[in-house]
Amino acid sequence: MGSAPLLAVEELVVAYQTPSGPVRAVDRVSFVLERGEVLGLVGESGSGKSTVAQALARILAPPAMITGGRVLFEGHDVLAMNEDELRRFRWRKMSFVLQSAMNALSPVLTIGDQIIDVLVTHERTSKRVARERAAHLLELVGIDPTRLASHPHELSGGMRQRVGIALALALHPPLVVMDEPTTALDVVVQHEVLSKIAELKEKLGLSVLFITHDMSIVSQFATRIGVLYAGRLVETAPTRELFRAPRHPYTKGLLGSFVSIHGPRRKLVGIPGSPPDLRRLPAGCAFRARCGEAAAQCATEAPVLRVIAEDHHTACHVVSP
Amino acid sequence: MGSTKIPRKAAVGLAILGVFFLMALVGPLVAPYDPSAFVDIPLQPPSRAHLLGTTGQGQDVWSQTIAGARASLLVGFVAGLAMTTIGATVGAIAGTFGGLVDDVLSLLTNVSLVIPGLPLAVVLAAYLPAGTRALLVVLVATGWAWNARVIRAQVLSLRNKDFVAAAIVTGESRLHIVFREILPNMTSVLASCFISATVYAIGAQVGLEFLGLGDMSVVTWGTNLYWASNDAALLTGAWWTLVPTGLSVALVGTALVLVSFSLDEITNPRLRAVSDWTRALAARGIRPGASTPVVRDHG
Amino acid sequence: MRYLLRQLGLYILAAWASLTLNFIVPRLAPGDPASAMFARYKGQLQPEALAALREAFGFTGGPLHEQYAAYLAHLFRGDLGVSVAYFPAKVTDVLAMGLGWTALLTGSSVVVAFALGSLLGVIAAWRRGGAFDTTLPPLLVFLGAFPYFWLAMMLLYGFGFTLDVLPLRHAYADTLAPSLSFSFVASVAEHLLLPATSIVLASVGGWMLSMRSSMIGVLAEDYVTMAHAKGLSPLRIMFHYAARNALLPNVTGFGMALGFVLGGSLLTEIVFSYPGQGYLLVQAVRSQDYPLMQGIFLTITMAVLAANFLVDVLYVWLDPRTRGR
Repeated sequence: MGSAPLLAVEELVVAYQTPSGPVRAVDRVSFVLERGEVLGLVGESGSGKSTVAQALARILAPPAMITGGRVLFEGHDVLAMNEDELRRFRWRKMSFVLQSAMNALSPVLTIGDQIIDVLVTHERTSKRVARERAAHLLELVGIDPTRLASHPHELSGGMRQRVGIALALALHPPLVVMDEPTTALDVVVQHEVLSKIAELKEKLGLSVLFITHDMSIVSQFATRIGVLYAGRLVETAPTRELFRAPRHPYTKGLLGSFVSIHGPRRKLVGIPGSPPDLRRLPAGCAFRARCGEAAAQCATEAPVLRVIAEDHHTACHVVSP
Repeated sequence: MGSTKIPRKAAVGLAILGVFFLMALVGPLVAPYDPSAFVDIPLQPPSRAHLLGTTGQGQDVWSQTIAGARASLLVGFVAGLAMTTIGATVGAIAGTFGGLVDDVLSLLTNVSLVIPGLPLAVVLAAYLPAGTRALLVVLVATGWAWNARVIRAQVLSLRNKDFVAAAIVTGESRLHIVFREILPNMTSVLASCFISATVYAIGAQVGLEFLGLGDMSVVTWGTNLYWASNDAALLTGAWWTLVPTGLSVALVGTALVLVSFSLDEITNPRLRAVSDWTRALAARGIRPGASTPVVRDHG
Repeated sequence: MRYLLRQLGLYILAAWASLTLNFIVPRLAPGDPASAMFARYKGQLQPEALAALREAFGFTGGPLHEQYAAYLAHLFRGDLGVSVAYFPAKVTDVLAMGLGWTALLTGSSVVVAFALGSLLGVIAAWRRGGAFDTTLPPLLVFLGAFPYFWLAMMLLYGFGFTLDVLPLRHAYADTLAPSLSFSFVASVAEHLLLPATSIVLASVGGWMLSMRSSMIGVLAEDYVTMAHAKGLSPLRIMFHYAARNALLPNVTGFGMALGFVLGGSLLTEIVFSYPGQGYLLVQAVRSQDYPLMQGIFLTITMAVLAANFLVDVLYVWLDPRTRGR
């Protein structure tokens, strides 16, 4: 098993049933995440990034279905697991920190209940031992253990998000998926939570799949970055390489609207037009309508990921190595 | 299932309603007998001469059911319309104006909601002169508040929408905003309010008349059941004096609810998407479980 | 506790509103039916009884505010006048006979219908679009569309008259005297079964549908996705995470719907001659016993308001977010 990467996603396809038929929200996405790595998945809302994340543990709610591909975790295909295997796999191997912990924690249960729950289910510990461990977890993220008896609404947004992180670390999983973990927070608290994540990542040697629409955040964290557009990966490269030499016109647009970590941060407004309607994707390249460099080939043939430079892939007809 | 097709539930509901409307509209012209007249030996079971038998008063049940449809549907729909109008006005004004106006109207709405309807209706009906107008007053007085509550909540969620904000910015009067901008944008909510109000009105009318309140000499579904019970339909085993009317009330109620369900599905396509999803999975022999299903049919 | 205080304020206001309605309605009615009532009773009641009845209704001949004061004074002394149907019994005594039975019948059937309907709604939403979810709701909607009392008559006809397996009327066997003996309790339960079943059948669909739609909303929440991600068992996600949250709006709806279900259950009492408020109500209507009708309206309103407050207390216990406020 040592040779298998921690996570290898191959040609993953996810569709949602809609009144006008199934719609592909994720289309043949492939990537690899090695141990100790932080992979950033970047894209606008609706690009399919959260769908990819939740498909990895098969926790997408109806009307979603996975219609193709493989998700290999330490060499085992998650898509081939039965319900029992999935339950044992979840949280022990892969845990989640979701956007806005207000909604990620049930409002009627205490913080303690929701952490202890995981420990009792997976490790069959007694409630007393679980409570002690939950207290330690809270301390780890800098929250007073007496807060175990609190309900989510009694905590601030930043505290809730740190509870979410503590919860994600409860079983020491090798991989934590963080889906926009700081989006709902104000800038100061955002910074606080991000440094907590950075600190714990170093301390515990976690691997992280980090999902965001915010290029400046991902630049601080990720070792590699994948850019999603309309459900497809359009570029993957090591962070440094991507920032130094973006190749896909969409990535260039994203980075063009992003000045620097310390400068004023802007949302993805640098690209004219809006993301396409997934129900009516045009033939050829999905980005063509917004692309300043489109060629005739782009209207007829969908580009696939190709090697552009060492460890740098781009799905674009007009880019040449 | 194409998106342009009328949903099956709506089709069934509308078909049933159509039959009853037709019955109410032209029924009295084709009814075999005068519904109030003594036409044959009392309490005869259904026969060729009397399709649904005769009542304890020797009236023809089929003719009574038809006549009852006209009276009960008319009262039901008029009361439903009145309740929706009042509820929509109160709810929309409360939701749009906010502040003290909202506080007062919401309090009024909530007070009327917690006062139990039937006992109040009985007191009102007992003191008002028996007749259709009194019945309408009673039904509307006890049933308007639910709509007001639903519509207020809907308005509150619409208030933040762009088109309302735009109207406020351009300095339109509040009442203009209520009646020209907000209410026209919630037709489906208004329609389902109208449906539930109508269902309530038909049921409450039948209940009040069953108690003996109202004009017992008029043939309605409620008085049919009142007289059936008065004539000891159960003791004599005359089920045919109860079943046609009860079934009519239930069919109309069900039909209205089916139409309302379809409205929900049209305004909230996600509801239908999940049903389609389950069907799509079933077609591939997959029973949905707790986890996202894996369906491989594209190789 | 501010939430509970606010609700209490609402109920006190509603109580006052119904007392006042009770005062106003006889005076607003065209044709002065109250005077007509007194005129009609002249032959039936002794002059003193008639005078007492006038007093209790505040028909003192003085200006309206004096009448209102007299009416309220009598009311707070627990004087609702004399019943005509049960003359010479006082209205309060007549009401006391029926209140317990109505509480038993309505209370037990409403609780069973709510619990059963909510459970069915949870299961239907969990298996959305499945066989259970596609067949049961239309069936229960159809059942719920029948008038309560009509279902009651059909059950009575089927199980009482035709099969002769359950008692036809009253709350317990005529041969027994109320006591805490086993035979009496068994008889009460036996007599409760049919009327309660008809109320449950008629109302369970409504609870199921509202729980189902509330669950569907909750199942799309992040905390349910999280519960799945945590690898918890489906039963734990379904009840501990989803249903507990989905129940909250339904508990609020429970209070609101109580008055409505009660209307249906009063009519059901009539079918079974069940000696509760509904049975008294039909007696009152038939003998045009206005004091009794108004007494029933007031007691039932007060009972519903009290029940609503209990539901609010339950709500505060279920939803921690209401506690601090």
